[in-house]
Amino acid sequence: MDKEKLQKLKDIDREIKNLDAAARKLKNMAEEMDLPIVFYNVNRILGTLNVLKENISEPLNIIYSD
Amino acid sequence: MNVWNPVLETMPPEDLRRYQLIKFKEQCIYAFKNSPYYMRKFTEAGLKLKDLENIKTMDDVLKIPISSKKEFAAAQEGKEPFPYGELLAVPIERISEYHQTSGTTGTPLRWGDTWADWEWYADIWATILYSRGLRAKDRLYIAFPYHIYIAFWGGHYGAEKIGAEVIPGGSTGTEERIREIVELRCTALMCTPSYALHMVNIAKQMDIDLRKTAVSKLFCTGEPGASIISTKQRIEEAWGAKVFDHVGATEAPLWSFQCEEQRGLHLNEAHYLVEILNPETLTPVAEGETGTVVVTNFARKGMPTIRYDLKDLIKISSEKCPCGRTWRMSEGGVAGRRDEMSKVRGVLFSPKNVEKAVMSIPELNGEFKIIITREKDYDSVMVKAEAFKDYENIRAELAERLSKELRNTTTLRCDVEILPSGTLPRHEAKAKRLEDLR
Repeated sequence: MDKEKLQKLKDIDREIKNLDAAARKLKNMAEEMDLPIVFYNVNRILGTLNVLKENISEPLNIIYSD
Repeated sequence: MNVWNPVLETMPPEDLRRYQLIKFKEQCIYAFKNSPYYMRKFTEAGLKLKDLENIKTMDDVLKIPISSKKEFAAAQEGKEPFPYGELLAVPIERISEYHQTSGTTGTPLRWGDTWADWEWYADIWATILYSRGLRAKDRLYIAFPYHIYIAFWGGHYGAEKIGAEVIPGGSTGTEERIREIVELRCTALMCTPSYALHMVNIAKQMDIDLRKTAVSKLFCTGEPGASIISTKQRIEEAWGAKVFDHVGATEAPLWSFQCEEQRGLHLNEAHYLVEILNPETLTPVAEGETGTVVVTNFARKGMPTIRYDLKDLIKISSEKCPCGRTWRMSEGGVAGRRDEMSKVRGVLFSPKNVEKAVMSIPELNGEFKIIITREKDYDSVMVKAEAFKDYENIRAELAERLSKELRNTTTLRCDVEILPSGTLPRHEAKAKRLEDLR
């Protein structure tokens, strides 16, 4: 994979991780104050984010980690 | 090139092999720690956690025991937590999707997916639909009542992910479905191949020419028909549309699919380790040999599937697909299923070869049934096929022609009976073509 494309993918990977961290924080906050609408909607978002982590972040980290 | 995820679909083959081995190892470790079935299975095979952590080569993969559907069924039958039993690898409250196998080959398996598993599943559907050119502007009609069967639900959510409009055909009749496809100007259709042909026959009676509809793509699954050239041609001609095949099971959805180039069927290698093994020795076959498919899924956490024997028979193609995907391809899709292949008078017999013969005769409408019987140690094969209404007066001639074709495709002499149109039962799901009464 050419360097420029790889760098762009790594930028995308960083944003996926930021989104995941934000969603997890939101889920914990919702759990603490017992706010089902936030908890369950964010839970679904995390499922969707998992697809990006598994299919973009993981292969990038495994194959192009250098 | 219609690529959904370039990171995985165009990964160089040597990187892909390395990636697969790492994912295989991770899934084995996960299953050992979380699935009572795999913990028992691996322990009985003398494997410890450190053995799994040391998986690095394909030789290491071969040390992991193979599982069968029978073993999966036994791990569920009467076992807690109901209804998934020892196969469940997450707390049951994390399961949000229930499906089950059709039970065509025995006790149905009950399958639970977490929301993350389900999102993964929709995504691999999106991958294959995107590869065939389905886009947000498309309107997809699904001619299937969904029910507890996983495939068409996945198709629904995968198409939605791309942004396409999805119209569920529900449990309405065939005439109503055809009317909806015409009226709503649907551009794509998803159904079993036998049902696509059944719709052709009904449309003729309704005086509707399906080639004049907006449908340009048909996504077929559930049966091998879309990879049988004569069946595929017949559907494509009648609909004036491209027909795409893909293969999967509830336990291993979409492990193989046909891309826009319509060559062989790609193995979905980013999500599965697909091994082609000799059915007797369960060791890898030599290049160009047909073998049984054993798959390991990398993603699902609710119920992992490791070295699972699908009993499908395929042969790897040496051809490189011009689509640009680096995933290997099989030649002509699934050649047959080990549990459908039976020996008749000492010869291996597959219903797929009967379908090839039936579909090669244009005066037959594509509906058929095979009945195998045994009398005084002699096996007999009876093939009953339906003629189109206009050709019912030449049934004797058609029987003779079909008999000849069957001789070519099966190498056996089969008894043949040509029936009037509408005699045999119709199926929306997997068509039950074979009745072995021996």
